[in-house]
Amino acid sequence: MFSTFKCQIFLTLICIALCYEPTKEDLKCFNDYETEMKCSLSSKRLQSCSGHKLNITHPVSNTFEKYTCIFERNHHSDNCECNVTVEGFVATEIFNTTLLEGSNVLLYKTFMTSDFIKPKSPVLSVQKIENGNFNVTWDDQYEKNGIFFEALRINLTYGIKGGHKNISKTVPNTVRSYEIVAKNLLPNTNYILTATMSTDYNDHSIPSDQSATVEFTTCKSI
Amino acid sequence: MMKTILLLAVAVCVSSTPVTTSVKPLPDKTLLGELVEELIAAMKDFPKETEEKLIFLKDLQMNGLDHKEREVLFCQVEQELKTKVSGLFGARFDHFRTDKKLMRNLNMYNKHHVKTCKLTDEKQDKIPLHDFLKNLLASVRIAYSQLK
Repeated sequence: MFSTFKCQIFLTLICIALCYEPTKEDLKCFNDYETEMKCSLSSKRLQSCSGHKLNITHPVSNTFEKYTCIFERNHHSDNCECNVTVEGFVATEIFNTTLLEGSNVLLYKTFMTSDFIKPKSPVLSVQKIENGNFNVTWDDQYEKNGIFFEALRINLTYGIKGGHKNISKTVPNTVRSYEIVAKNLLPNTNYILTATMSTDYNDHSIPSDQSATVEFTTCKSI
Repeated sequence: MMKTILLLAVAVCVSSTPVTTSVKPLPDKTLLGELVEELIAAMKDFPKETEEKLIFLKDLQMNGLDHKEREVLFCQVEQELKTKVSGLFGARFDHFRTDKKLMRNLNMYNKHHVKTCKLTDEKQDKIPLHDFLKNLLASVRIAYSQLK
């Protein structure tokens, strides 16, 4: 009996070394505060996404909405990812998640909506205007205007293409445009511009993914 | 030998500690702000001069309230809307379904503010739905403005 106990301890230690036991930091979820909740599972010891899923329970008024999020490999990030469509989000509602491998429960994690909002990436546009400056506009990709829209902020970053120094400017989403003054830039130079969005709903703690890059070129003489 | 096994057993126990997350305090400003938006949207489907005068709700006291009284009011409003409007047939009443944002925002606000909802007398005076929503919107706006 004693040797059986020692064997059990030994096997447990082997499993700790080799088996996949995720921690809560391995499971990340984000919502876009519109209709989508995306989750990802990352771990160097995770061999395959197959068989891993997230059971999600979302209390709504006096009922429970239930979702199943089945993980698949994302070849760009090498993480296991899944997403579910939700009937709108409310800031303080809770999502209770259970991570499963087959029928084996790996961990439980609770998310409060406002805490895990990650806004959609903006789509940028740059136009040279009559005074020689550059007018930056963007599409926040949200359909409805309102309090959430007003709580968004855009962080613009631009710099010389191939250079190392960048300039960052943060403006409220509601201003809808930003003017880059050409005389502050080098003449006849290619610049690149990117942006992220963040929200006041979680004190801007989770920025969006970076937007696609846009380029603009200054005149030969400014 | 025994000490080694005990240490290993402790290591096993520590490594299997269950994982939980804590929930942060509730942002009233967000809930009330979104409630204002949803009420404005809902009221567009209920202009004053329509057959919706046939829907009557309790004429709850919504003016001149302090913070605590307003908390009680919002709880009573949720009950009134749930019992008399949420289940009505027709797309115009979709805003008041319990799985839609208007009722969900109201529900979450009440969950964290009121432990017991003081129900009002059913014999109380009644007013048309449009007027009920108009009074409610004014009250929510006041509550929201006090948080800004």
